[in-house]
Amino acid sequence: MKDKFIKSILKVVEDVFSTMVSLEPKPEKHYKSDGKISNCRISGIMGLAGKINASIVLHFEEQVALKATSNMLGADYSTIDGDVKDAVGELTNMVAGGVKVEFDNSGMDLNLSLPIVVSGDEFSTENLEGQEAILIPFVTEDGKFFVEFSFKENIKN
Amino acid sequence: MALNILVVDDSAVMRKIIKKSLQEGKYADAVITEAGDGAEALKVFNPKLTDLVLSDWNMPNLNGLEFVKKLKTIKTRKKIVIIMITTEGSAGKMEEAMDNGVDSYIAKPFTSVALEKKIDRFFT
Repeated sequence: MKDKFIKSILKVVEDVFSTMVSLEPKPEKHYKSDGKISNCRISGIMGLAGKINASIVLHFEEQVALKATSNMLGADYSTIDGDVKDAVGELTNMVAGGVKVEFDNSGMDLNLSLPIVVSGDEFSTENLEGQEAILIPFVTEDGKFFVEFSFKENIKN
Repeated sequence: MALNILVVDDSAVMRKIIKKSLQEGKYADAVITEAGDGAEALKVFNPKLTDLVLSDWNMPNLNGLEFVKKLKTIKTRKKIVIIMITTEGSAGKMEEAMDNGVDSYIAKPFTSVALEKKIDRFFT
């Protein structure tokens, strides 16, 4: 299951960023999250529920979020404002939605939550006890962003 | 004659991207109305003027599918084309959408060219 998430995320991130953002982020080796994402000032969060419960979180360094929004809208953004938060929400929606489709097409009918966006100078994320979170870093010319996921299989379903 | 298009998406950024895509291509003269969810879309929908609805699926208050179901109960004298622009792109979800009156769909992420081609199928 973990490998399926990683494979889906790598495919979907490449597709979303090349099509909508005109960026070609390079993935780095994934690792287990300790909840701390240094330098990231804005994150988009979505949940998936059904045969598995999962969360997908996109954490952006400020310059990457600004560049992504600028490319998406064809205008320059220099501070995190409503448009940047909305763009991060939409990117999270497209990545989580793309992963959902990958799982749906293999027989898992999952439901998607609405995206939540948080921003600030210092925050951390924590998963429920027993749920391991994995981080996949992506490198761009303007800095890094991370895709974090965690999941739990629902035995009842 | 310019198309009258209703764009429904809870993301203001996505509405801007869709508008920009339309305005940079052959639908540059389209009259575009925006709504942030299905409930708002029902309020601004004009059965006499609207030619095309471009709607997201996953939205608060009234989602895209429920919006389409309600839209289909409104009597109109002309065919109104409904295209969903959504991340809900699995075969099962799209079959459900088509069964409820959606004419076609385009999965996010999408290019301006893909959107224009999709609209062309109904208006050229």
